[in-house]
Amino acid sequence: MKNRNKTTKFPVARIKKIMQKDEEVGKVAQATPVVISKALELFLAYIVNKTHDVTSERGSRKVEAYHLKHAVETNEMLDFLKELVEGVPDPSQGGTIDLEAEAESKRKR
Amino acid sequence: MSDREAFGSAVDDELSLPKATVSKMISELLPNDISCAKETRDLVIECCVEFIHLIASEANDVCEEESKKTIAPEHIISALKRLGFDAFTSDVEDVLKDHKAQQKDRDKKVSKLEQSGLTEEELLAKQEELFAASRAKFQNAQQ
Repeated sequence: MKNRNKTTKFPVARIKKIMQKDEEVGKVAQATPVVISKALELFLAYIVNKTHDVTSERGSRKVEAYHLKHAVETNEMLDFLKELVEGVPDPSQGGTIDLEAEAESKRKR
Repeated sequence: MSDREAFGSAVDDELSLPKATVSKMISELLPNDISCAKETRDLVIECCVEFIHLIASEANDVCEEESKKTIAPEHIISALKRLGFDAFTSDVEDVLKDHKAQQKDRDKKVSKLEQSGLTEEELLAKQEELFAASRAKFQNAQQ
């Protein structure tokens, strides 16, 4: 594994703001965003590693958005992201994408 | 809430994680010869924000079930377990332990101050004396 710079961290204040964007979320203890920061770090590592697995499988040197989409579709832990990646076009699916995208946009209207 | 509105909805819509920080973290995770498309990085950021919302929402439920008003780290840990992120809980619990230990040290320093036997006013007066003394020293040095 590469040398990991252990000082790169997520901004704790920003995490708190993002949490409180949800109107249901009220008060947050001071230690809570710190703990989320760690969970987020682990999550980031997970999603990047799974995505990179797809990149490797497809023999690419560049991590593309559709690699991430495929990782989301094949890992249960990433199920909650399915809606988020819906709009990402996957070139390996050929002509069916357009039909899907059109149906999607019609449904959303 | 009204404070946020005063700044305009633009601030809220842009609420995300810093691109530079996330870019750095991504490149630290990938091998040297692999690059990440900008589009992918932005998508990763969106996934992270979504993750925060997911955990926060679940933790909020846990918090309410316990009839508490403040979301505590323990609620986050329960939320992670409930959502299938059990694998994360061990490291997260370590971070919590470290944080509590640091907090204990901070509290020790504060109580030391309290144990000095002086009230807050007396301490403030002492501080002012010290400031005045060094001000005088400074002015003498200037001349």
